Amino acid sequence: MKVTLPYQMVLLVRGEGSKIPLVVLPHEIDILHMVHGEDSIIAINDTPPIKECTFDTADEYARLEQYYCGNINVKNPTKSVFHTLADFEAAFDTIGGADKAALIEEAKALGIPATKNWGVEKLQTAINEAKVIV
Amino acid sequence: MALNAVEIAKIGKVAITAYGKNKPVDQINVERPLLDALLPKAKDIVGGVDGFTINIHKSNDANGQLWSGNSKVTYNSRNPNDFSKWDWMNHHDGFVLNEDELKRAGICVTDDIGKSTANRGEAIALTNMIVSQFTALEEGVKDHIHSLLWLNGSQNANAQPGIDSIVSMSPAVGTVGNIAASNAYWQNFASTGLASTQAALLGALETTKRNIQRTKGRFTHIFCGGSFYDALRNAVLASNTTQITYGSGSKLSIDMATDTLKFDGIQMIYVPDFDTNFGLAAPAIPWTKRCYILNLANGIELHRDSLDFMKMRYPGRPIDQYTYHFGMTSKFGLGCSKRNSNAVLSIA
Repeated sequence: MKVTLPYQMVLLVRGEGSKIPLVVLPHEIDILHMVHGEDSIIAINDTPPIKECTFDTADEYARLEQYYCGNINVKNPTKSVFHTLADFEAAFDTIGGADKAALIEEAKALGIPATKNWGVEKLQTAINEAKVIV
Repeated sequence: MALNAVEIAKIGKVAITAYGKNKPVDQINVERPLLDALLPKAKDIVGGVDGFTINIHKSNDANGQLWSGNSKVTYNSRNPNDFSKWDWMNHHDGFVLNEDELKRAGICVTDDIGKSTANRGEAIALTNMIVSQFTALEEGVKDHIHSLLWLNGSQNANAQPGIDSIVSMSPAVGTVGNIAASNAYWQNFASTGLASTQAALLGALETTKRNIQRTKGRFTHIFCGGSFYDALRNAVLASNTTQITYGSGSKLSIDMATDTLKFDGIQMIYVPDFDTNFGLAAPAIPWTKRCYILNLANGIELHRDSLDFMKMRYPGRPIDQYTYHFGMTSKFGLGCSKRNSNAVLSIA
């Protein structure tokens, strides 16, 4: 399944002396938590939006497994967060993906000024409200 | 005409294949230019609680005043120094051999102490199994260390930040070496999304050079990926034409390869690993599109334990297995003494 998401910047805390800016996709943050600890990621809200990335979920899952591979004797952090590819794809129902794209199309057809930044819930509420008015 | 299976089987009873006994020819290992450039100048890790530090001069705190007659002057308290703080990481790679496989490879292991002598088993060895395994270990370690020197350290909790963090695409964000990157003096230069035209690329290179020179910096090495290299080469080629006049009967010899691309006298070194993203998937700005302009003389420093860097280790044999373990360990980390003497460029 094809998904388009914006890259975002976060800070990775490495010891007291190092906060590394990382450009990552939103779902990578859970894996970074798994690799580096719960307190290791600081969100940065004041950076301008970085470019978007369109990826195939199977390719992206393979990329994450490969990049955050950890050591051989520990469970792959990607698999700890998203056990299977199906789990990984399910995660996009809430943060983006094909279903959301369809909802945006539907909303726009109803005259709602929906953008990619809208969540699925917000889109569905807006569509339901618009349908009631129609 | 090729022999049929019956004929081959018949000959197989009286002859063997003419197997080569040459040293195995490497098909996969690539150049690791950053490791090669850093190693001769590497500094020693001596221990200490918190990794290692590098002193820097951050401000003059100047307090110059003009005066005349009885007017008063003031004095200030200065804090010109700081130190950047870095950490190092432990690296291990190793393999195991058992007596059974060694015997079959023509190597006989005994527990006898003393001289080892050649035995008849050597006749059946095409290549020395132990030598091959050691070569594979060393090449694999160099590959991994080279990638760790470049990657930002997010991939593993025990990895320390490499060039991707120190010479950052977002130079003003975060904390690098315990100093906030919001300090103007503690920022590298970054120019991303460059057009693949001569004006854009040479413009960015010239601006970068001037920015680095502004604070008495200089750069010693330029590393780039294949896409950046090609973009610059094609841009330069497109705008430079050479006309050759030759008479009838004379011959021309034209070598059409690009010998070297240089900027400010420094060769632009192609890093093969950039084109494969170090065997990982591409980040937001793929490595192949990047060009790093680095100061490896007094900017980026490799600190490594001189007693434990690519050091062979021979752990003891388990009591219940006839196996032999071989390891190679390293302690190393990158530090930077002058971030504003380094830059990164990338094409769109």
